[in-house]
Amino acid sequence: MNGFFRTRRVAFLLAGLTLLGVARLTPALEWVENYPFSARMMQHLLLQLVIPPLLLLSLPLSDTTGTSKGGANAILDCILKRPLATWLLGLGSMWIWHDPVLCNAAVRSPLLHEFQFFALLIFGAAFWWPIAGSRAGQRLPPLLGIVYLFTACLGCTVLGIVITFAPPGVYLAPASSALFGDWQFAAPVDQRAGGLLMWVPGCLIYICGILGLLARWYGMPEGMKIPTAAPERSL
Amino acid sequence: MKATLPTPLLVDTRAHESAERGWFSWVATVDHKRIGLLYLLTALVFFAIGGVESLLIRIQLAVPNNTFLSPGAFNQLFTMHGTTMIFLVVMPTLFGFANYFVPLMIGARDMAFPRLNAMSYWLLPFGGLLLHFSVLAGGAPAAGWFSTAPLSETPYNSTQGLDYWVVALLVLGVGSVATAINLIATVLTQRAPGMSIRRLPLFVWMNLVNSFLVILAFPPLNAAIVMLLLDRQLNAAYFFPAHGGSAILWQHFFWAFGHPEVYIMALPAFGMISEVIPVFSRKPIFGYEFVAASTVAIGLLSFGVWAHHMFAIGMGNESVLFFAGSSMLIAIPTGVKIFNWTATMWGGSIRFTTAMLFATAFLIQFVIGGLSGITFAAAPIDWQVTDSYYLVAHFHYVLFGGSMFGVFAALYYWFPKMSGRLLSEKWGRVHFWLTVIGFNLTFFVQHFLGLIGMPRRVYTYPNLPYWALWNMLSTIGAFTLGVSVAVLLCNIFWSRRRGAMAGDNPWRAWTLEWATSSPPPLENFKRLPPVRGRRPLWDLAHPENPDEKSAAPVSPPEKAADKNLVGMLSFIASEATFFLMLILAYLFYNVVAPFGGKAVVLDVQKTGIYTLCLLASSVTLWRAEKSLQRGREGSFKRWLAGTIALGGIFLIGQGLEYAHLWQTGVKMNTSLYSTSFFTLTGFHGLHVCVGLLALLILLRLAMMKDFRKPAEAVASIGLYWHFVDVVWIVVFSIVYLRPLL
Repeated sequence: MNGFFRTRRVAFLLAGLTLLGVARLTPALEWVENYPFSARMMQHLLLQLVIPPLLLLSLPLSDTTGTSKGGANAILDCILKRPLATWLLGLGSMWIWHDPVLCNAAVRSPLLHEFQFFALLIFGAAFWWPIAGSRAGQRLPPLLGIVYLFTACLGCTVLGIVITFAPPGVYLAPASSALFGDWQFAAPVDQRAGGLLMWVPGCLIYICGILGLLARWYGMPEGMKIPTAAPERSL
Repeated sequence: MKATLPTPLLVDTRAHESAERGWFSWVATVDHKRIGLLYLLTALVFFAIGGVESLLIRIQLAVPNNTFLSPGAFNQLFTMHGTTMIFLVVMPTLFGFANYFVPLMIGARDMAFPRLNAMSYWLLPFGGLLLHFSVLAGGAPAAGWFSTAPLSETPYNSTQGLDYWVVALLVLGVGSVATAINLIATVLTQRAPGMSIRRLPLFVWMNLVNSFLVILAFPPLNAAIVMLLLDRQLNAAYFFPAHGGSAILWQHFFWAFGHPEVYIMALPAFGMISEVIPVFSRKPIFGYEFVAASTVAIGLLSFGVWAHHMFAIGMGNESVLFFAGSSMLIAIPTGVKIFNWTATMWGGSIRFTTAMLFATAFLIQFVIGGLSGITFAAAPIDWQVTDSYYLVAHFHYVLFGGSMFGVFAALYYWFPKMSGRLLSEKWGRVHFWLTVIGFNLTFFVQHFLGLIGMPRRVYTYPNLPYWALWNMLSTIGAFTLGVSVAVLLCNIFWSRRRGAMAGDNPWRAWTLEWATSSPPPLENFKRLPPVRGRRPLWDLAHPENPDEKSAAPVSPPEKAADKNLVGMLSFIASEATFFLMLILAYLFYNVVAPFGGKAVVLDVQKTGIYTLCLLASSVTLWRAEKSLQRGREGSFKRWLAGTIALGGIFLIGQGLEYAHLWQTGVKMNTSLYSTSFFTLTGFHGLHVCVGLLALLILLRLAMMKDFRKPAEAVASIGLYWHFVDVVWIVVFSIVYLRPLL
């Protein structure tokens, strides 16, 4: 059984790193500005919703509840054990980075773009911590985890709907794109496709998370004490 | 091996017995079993009405160029048939079974909120009466069950039929949401010891998932029909393109409800099938976890695919692509269920009772409906066959071949429990075969009719090759179905008096409802068997071979969540969705597709002050709660009064702002801005009023010292009040602050 779990962790690690490579390397092929909006949305989805849970699941699960005293660790701990905080961080980062002002600024400034890249990753990791984190004690009980993911999914869906229906031109369109020029991917279509990516596949990622939680829940032996103490209180 | 009862179940029933006789006892009842029966009987009456409507439609369509019905009457009939069958037959039937059996199956004494339950039921007949009263008030609604805008607007539907349709649906929607909240609270807080959520019978589990669908899917419908009513009664133009409105927004709102609604009508039927098939295959359900988890997957997916009802409106290829893909995904969890049911039957010693016959036919017919559904997910096929009889055939295979067959299976399965007598198997078989033949004859040929181009909702058709033949066959099938329903009715009324006595457990089933007498006593269980697995009665009969080998002894009852809290949170989830829809509509009309019109200047500073009052009222209410916890009654009353005063100031402020706007000529129908402004802020104000009313009741109870559970009441109403404040923060930011950016 141990072998199975180790293989699974290695698989998660490889998948996470591969996708990180995809998300990281793609913009290097051509300058970000020349990328369609929808490609950037794809990158954001990977960074915030797909890569963090994969990398988190590749960590070994520990039973420690985290009692580090003082320093940055304690602050981190203080946030990570509060699902409401991680929920707000995750969804907040999703919404804030897709505010047209910030989203367009990140296209113009390479520095901000770089910052956005890591911010999405880190906030994504914080969001997934109560679901896939490596500390058993800080994981939400499965049913509450489903509520956590479902409400976040709703928030993400609404964001997707808002982007899809936003007036054309709200988000910067690529000036010229060698890759997509031949596709005749008009700017309004590109923007709608970006919103739809957030709306539909974005939602599917959360559903996968929820199904994973259900599988974990049904895998637990009946009567097992589900570690609830810390997270439930802060919800 | 029988556990003693928890004390609340040991009540003296003699006091209730005198109240159990006479027709008034049925009107006044709050017993979940009687309410369940009332639901089923009411649905049966409307089933007869909706059935006669469909027969009239089929008579008209039996031959080409028929003049039996006028075009107007035809429109009214198909609208009433659809609305009746969905809102007055299928949903109430499913709610009726859920009402009767969910508490029994989890070993509860009643629903969590019995009086709310009675209210939910009584909204059903009154909603139905409102809908049908339209016939006397100038004509029934005639814009189809989904009232496509702008056909549903006054210029195209000038009778009051649609207004009655809207009000009836609002009434029925309130009842449905209340039932769903009740079911959620019941399942989460009223379970017997040992009945953990992972051991729930699948019928209960699916009703739980379904209830979440109901509380989240009805708000979009309510928002849409309220907006339609404003269009029709106050000359607004939400869905009226000639005045800047958007007919497409109606479709988005309606189908955001309409698609989950399909699963709301299917999931409980899946639950019934999941109970019937194992019992008559003498095997536990194959892959319980997969059936349960796929239910969740279906429920979640159902909210993300509604746009596939709109492929033909020109959303753009990119939208069509995404929704085609996500719609096809639904086939996976549904397919998982079909395989599980089939695998349950595989190798079982199957007893083909009437219930099992219906369940088996369900499997086959639902697969046909599901497969034709997948063809619709392919957008180019949808463009060809949408609004043709192919579509009619598809959804009847899902709703009749699926849901109704599930209901028939459940009826034959559970009738003995409800009445104490078995339905006649002989007449059951006649009913079954007539239904299968009639149903497939009626609707299978409609696939062909649709594919050769016959549009639905048109009152007649020319004499084209094969059209007359297929239509005649379909009409013959419909009348066969009519006969089958008559057979069912006779069977019910005959068996009710003369059927064979059932005993407690005629099918040797395993779930808790069979552990009590048939029909169950008022308090449901004299003795509750211990629950150590998913099939308590199997474990009881086979102590040497229990389902859960390593099961721990029955644990002491867990401290269940407070039912008021669960109920209030579910209610808030539903209300939040309602406001989300109104906010999205506001954004759509003012940011995405602004139509112009007179600029309106809002006094942000003044409203800002009133906003602070409202926010302060949340703080005072929090202080009131704290005082109550510390037992300081006087301070509790003072903080509560302060909260009411602050809420009142906010309302007065809003009233002054409205008065000012009216004086400057800004009315509901001035522009889409004013319409969406008044709708959004008005509904918020209405919620503040409701909150104030609740707080006033609390204050009065506190004055009269008539509190039984003050802390819980204050906590629940406090949650609602904080929710109303949070909504206002969002509304204030979007309506008042955003334009300043």
